[in-house]
Amino acid sequence: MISIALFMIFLTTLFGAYSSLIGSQKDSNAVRVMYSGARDLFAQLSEDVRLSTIDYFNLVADKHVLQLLSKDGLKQTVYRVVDKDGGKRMEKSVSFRTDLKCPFPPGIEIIENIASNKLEIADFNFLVTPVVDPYSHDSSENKEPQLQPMVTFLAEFKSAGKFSFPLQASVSSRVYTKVDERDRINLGGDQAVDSCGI
Amino acid sequence: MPEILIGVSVLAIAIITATNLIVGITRSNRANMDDLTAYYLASEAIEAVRSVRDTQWMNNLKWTGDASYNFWSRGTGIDFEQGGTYIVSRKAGTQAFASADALTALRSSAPWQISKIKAVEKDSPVTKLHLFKVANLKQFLHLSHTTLGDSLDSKFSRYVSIELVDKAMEVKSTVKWSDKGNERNVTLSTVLTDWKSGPN
Repeated sequence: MISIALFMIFLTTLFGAYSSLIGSQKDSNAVRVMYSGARDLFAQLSEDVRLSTIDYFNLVADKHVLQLLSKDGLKQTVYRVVDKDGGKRMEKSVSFRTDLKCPFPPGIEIIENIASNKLEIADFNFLVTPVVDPYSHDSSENKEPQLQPMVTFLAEFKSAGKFSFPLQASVSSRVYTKVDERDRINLGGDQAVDSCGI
Repeated sequence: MPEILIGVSVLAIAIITATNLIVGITRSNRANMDDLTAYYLASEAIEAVRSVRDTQWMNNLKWTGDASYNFWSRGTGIDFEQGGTYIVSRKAGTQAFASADALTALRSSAPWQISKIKAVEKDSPVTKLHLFKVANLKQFLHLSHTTLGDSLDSKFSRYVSIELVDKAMEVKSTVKWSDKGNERNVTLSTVLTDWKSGPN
């Protein structure tokens, strides 16, 4: 009886330790997936901001949206943090145009989630500085200081509902000229649409 | 009886080894997350220096600053100093969210505050280097040297060293933190040039 009791205690301890180890390993894997996914997402966004400038003409008052314009002004990339399936996803859409004075048609290429499907985005915010085009005619005539366009990412990622990982980064644009020929203040949007036949 | 003891011992060793392995993996994951956070913090400081250089150009100022308005110090009269050590922080109150009502308010707001510190301070655990977890009015948590409201001390400290050689500027950004008594750091460096050749 004593031997059986001791054996039962031993087996219970063994099972408990094994369960704990498996749980810890699952947590570790989840954390690894979280930070590697976060690193990939930040690397992708940082690279895109460096090679682009802010699409000031279409800038909207939404911290979950980032609109970028390519250096030649012909490609627009929009990143949007959307709620989907009980979580958040980073959607990317790309639009092209052939005339710098024309608006972009709706995105022709949409990627529903540029982040890893296993990455849980708890929150993701884009901070754009400045919020007016420093290279626009209006800004040039303004005596107030002008600033090179920059985007700050403030994000929080989660893993298995247990761990959270805040991450922040700031990246400035490497485009040092005025790209868009449209002027948010001086050019009427309707006029632009009419002349472009959209 | 000896067989049971041997069996128990072998299993105990196996469990202890596996536990150590899991603990090691967990520590490694935490260290990787700290490394990633530190990397982006260091990178952010270099981006801030780049932003200041670009802003100097955009306002037709000498890239290292001059007697007039100087973005190195946001006009507070502190000139750029050769071999200086700086802390880089977001200026309080300039969380530039893309909102229409912020357009006017943020137009003249330089986002970065670059403050010179004494060289000896970078190697001492002074609070000037510490980064705090700050929740702004929009409830976004970010790390900054500036404390606002209910700020919590983070484990990270950051400073930037700048060496000017001819028309090039070597910027070294260092983020330090302590991981269970072990001092760790990430240092990134880059060379910024005056390729636009602003006013001399």
